[in-house]
Amino acid sequence: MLALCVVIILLSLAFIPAITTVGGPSGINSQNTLGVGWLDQRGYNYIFYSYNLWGDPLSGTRISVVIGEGGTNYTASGTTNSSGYAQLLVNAPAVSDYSGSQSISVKMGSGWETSSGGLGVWEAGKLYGTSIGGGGSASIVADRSNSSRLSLIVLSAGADGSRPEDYGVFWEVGTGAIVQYQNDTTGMTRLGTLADYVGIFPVDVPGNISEATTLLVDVTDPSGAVISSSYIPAYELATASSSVNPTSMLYTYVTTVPNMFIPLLAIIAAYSSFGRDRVSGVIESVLVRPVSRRGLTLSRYLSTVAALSLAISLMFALLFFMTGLYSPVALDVASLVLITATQLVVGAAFVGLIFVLSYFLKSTSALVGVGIGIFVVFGFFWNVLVYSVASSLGATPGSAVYLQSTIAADFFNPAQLAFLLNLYLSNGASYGLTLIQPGLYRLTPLTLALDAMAWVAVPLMAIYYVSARRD
Amino acid sequence: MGFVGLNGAGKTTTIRIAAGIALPTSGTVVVDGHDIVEDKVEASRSIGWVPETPNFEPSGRGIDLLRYFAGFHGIPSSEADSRSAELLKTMGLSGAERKRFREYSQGMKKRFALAASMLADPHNYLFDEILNGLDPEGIHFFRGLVGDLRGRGKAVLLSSHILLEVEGLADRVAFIHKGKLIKVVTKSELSSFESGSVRMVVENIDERLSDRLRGMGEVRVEGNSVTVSDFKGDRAELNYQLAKEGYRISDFTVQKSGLEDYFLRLIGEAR
Repeated sequence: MLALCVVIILLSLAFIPAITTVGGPSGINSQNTLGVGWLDQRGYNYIFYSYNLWGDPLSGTRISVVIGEGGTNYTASGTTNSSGYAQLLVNAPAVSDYSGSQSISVKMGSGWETSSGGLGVWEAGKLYGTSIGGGGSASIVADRSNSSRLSLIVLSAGADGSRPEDYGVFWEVGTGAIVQYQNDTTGMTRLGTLADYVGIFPVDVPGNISEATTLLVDVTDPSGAVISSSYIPAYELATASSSVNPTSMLYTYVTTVPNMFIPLLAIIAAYSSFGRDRVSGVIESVLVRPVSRRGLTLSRYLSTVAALSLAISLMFALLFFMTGLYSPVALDVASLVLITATQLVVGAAFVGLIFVLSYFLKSTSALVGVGIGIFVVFGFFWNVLVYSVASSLGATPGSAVYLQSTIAADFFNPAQLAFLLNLYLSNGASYGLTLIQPGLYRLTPLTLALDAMAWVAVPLMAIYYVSARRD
Repeated sequence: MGFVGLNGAGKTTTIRIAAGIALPTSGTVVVDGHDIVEDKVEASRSIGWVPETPNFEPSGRGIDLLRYFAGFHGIPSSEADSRSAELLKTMGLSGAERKRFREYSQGMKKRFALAASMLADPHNYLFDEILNGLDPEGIHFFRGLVGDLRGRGKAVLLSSHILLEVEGLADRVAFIHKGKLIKVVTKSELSSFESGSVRMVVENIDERLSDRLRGMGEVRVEGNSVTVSDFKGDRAELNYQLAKEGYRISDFTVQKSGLEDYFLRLIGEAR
């Protein structure tokens, strides 16, 4: 038992450093697009840059621009090249009032993301930012070498679409109102020089981000004139630098990885302390003593559960200690206590199951085989069973009905108790699909508590019954 | 009490139920006034059990196992240490206290089981095929042990297929067949049982005599000696008639049955 606990702890040692690097800042999408545009005699020109989490170019991104004016739509579309760029020209007459519209669609994965709005009046010789999902031509990416740091990505061009040369990039982090589209860079910090359409500049985002925090980015031409201004709102900064993903990963680990081993631990413990003695007949040398049948069985059950509980508690305590030392995120004590308690219930349930089975299976191979079978079904193939049942009812994975079926079924699997708890605590975030209101799915503290009590009480009652009625 | 029966008759099952190891499907066993099912704890205080195949924790050391069992009898640990050591010495297991049970020989296992059964000095002992696997020294030792237990007023139920030993040890013998108790005889009843065998030494034995005796049972002639097994008839009348016919009978004995013969006859009748 202790050996298996050590295995789990060793797994933790490997995992904890990983959560500081895997995925990086969670608020940054894996596929993004920036765009700038300018107006000339041909029409509305655009340069788009499609990039990944680190600002590296993405080729093959389909982009479509629709300009609507006077009831007519003018369209241009293209695909980013190997350098991540796509240059489009919408042959539309210049819009002289604010009646025009602009719609930019980018294919993200299997779907399209569209940003639509008024076109405004473009002046010739000026650059306009048209990034998808927001204004400006700057955004946040993860630092290439340190995923816990952020970098600024800036897209710019000459007024005629020429490659920038010696353009300056400035930024300012402010709280409260920052006047946007300033015409000078007074008070701003120079990050560097833009020598190409796209530049990436490491930045130090302050830790005390609030809703009022804003990051302003200005690009200047060689003369120092501001040619574009972009602002990055606080929410984008906050999600980019937050640790939501590592925290979520940590909680998911704490509720799922030990869950793979604890039922096995419990089965081994129950077999070692009772099952083996029953099938071998060694228990008879004790049973002949002044001890009742029930007393003997229940005392072994309680001592097994106590020993297992101690091992599990110690394991989680060490996990808590190690995450505090090595992980950028910490486990909430209250949540950890709940998770530990849940795992104790899981352990007790599986110990009880094996104890009961020991009264019906008379050979070591049968008892061990069925024990392993229970572990495999409850621990690994449960989701397959749920899928089979839910599919037969017409529900597909990812649907609300499927989730409902999963939750309902999981109440009948002690190994899934920790998953249910995590689902409740995270409002469904641990499910990875969408947030939910747990109460709508009968996932409440009461139902969880009742389920936990049932999984302890039912095997215990079965033990109480069979120990006095079966040899 | 000896407890004998064919294989599968129910001897071991009966002893296991009496020891509280197995549950009866009906009825019960009362040990010193305590029901073995309803009041098992108290009943078990009065029982010492040695199974046919002693089965203890293989990795347990002899002395440690006895100490462990002593705890169930409420024997204080200090007393348990000394008692365990003394029992092992009595059973001839000195030097094997720290050996693991799996390292014991068959005979040592039996002796250890005996020691474990005597730990709390119970009133009643249940020995199931205890003589199996014992060497002559072990059997001799066991004879002395049973005699000692009898002398101390202990009750011993001994099942065995070695009927000669049972006959020598038991005051009474119970016969079981197909799960039913068919007879209980005392030692004196057993010793007075006359089998159907008659043996004669006839000086002028001839074929006519053999033919005549064949109608009375199974005849075996060895020189002047004639043995008639399963004798059916009046022995005294036969003796008289043979003498009248001129046979000179120098010896006429009725052979008394051993337990084996009694047992076989009884089982034959039960079938």
